[in-house]
Amino acid sequence: MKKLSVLIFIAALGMGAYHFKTRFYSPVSLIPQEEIVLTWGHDPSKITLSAPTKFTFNLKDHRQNFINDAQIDVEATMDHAGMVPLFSKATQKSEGHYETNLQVTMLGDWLLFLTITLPGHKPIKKVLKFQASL
Amino acid sequence: MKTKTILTYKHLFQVIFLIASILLIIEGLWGDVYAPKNLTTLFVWIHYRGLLVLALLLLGNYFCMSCPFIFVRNLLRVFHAPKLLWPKKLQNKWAGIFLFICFLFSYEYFSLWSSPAITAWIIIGYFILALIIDLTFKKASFCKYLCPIGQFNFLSSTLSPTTVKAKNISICESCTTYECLNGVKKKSVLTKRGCETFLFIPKKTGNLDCTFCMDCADACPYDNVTIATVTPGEELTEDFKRAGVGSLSNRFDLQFFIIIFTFGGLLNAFAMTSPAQTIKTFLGTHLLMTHSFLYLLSLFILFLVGLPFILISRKDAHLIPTLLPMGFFIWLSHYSFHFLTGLFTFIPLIPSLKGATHFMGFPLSIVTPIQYGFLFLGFLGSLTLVWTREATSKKRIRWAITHVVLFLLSLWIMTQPMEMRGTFTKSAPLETICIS
Repeated sequence: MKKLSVLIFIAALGMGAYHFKTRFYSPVSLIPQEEIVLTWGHDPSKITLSAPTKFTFNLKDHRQNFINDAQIDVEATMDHAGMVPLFSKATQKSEGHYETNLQVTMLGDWLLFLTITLPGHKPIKKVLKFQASL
Repeated sequence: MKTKTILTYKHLFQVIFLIASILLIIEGLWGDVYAPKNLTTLFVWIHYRGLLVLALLLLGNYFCMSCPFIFVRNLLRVFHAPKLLWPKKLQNKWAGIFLFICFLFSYEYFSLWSSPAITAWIIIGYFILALIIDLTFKKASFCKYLCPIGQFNFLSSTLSPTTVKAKNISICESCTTYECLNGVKKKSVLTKRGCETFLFIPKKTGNLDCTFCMDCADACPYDNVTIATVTPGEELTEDFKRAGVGSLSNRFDLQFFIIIFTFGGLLNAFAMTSPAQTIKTFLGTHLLMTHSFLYLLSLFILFLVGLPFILISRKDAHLIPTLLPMGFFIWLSHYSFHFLTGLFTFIPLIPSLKGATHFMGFPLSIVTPIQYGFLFLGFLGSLTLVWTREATSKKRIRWAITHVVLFLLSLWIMTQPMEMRGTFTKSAPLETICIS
């Protein structure tokens, strides 16, 4: 009886785990890399804590045409769980050219998560990396 | 609280932690590949560690009580009872110390915190190791001799406000069957476990090697075992002879582990600060030590060997336990920093709460004084023990100086800016993902 109860419990756990995994973790589809060509930069070239950094993003399609009217949501966070992220939106300054300012709060490795939404398209994510130094 | 109630809560907590472990494994293996976006890295390295040390400080060793690994082990022991006893030559803390140091080193070298997949595999590895050991060897061999988290909890719980002890010692004195240690047998079959870490309740002093499993309470026919409140650190005021442990002055392995525990706390905090990166750059530039393994090894030797060699005399070994308050509060100061500053950073990661990004955690203006307060409490605790334990004035002054140095060093480390580098190699590469 005891063995049967244990087997039923383990089976229930296993089924629950499988159901949870298939329900919430479906594979994401990758779109061709060329759909959005992103080039980016930052000013100043050395990112420090003492002043805000201007991040610039240039968007082009695979035919090298500038992409306008894109909504770019920016989230900057350290490559360590539990650090407070910084949120911003990049605004278009010229053809295909977007800018935002962020003042990083800690030294070290940072990740920049961009969610780029083109008019009438699904959002696309890009992840960039940079370092903040003294 | 009645024993039956405590046992019910214990099983409930174990099931909750087991389900949480499974969910964290799934999230770690199949969730977002970036640490700040993955609930596994967040909950394990920020919330679990923070809650662990706070629970040890305010409540007791309830995390060992809630251990999911042991819960699964007990389930599987229904099918297979271990036959062997843990080897006598290994009936000490050396294997546990080795695993603890390996874990600390791996944490820094592989930047474990920055990889959800590795974090998930650590949880899986823990289950596998615990099951292999405890399905091969009798009693709680994994808990007593190996588990790095358990060893950390045992030392930390010497400062907890609760302990498992007899309600009425005179009842124990009249007992001749010792079920708390031997368990309960019916027709030669063990129906209830006794203490699997060999802590005999009438002779038990303090929390070392106690997992709060309450098997002793469950087995006691007189319902004479309970969780009682104690003065934190009281068990360290004298060199008690402890059941299942002996006296600390005769346990070189435990003395060594207390040193590793304390200086390891300093090292763990120091490794992610700016000065650590400066040293790394200096060694790379001037000594051509570009390999991070060598750099880390140097750091480990400096903190775990060099500093103790300078600050501690082997002749004063019986005062080594006075390091525990300082050591524990260094860990507490470090882990509580991450826990309090990143308390609600999981909220944007939960889809239904994605918009709520206003309050992520407590600001540094609140957290920093708390950190300093913890360090000061640890310093006071260590100094108090120096004066309560038996020692000559000369030794007391020497140890007081040691604690002052440790306190100032820990204060300096906690004031340094954080600078975590070298984590990108453990992150996933760039990719373009389309999300719906």
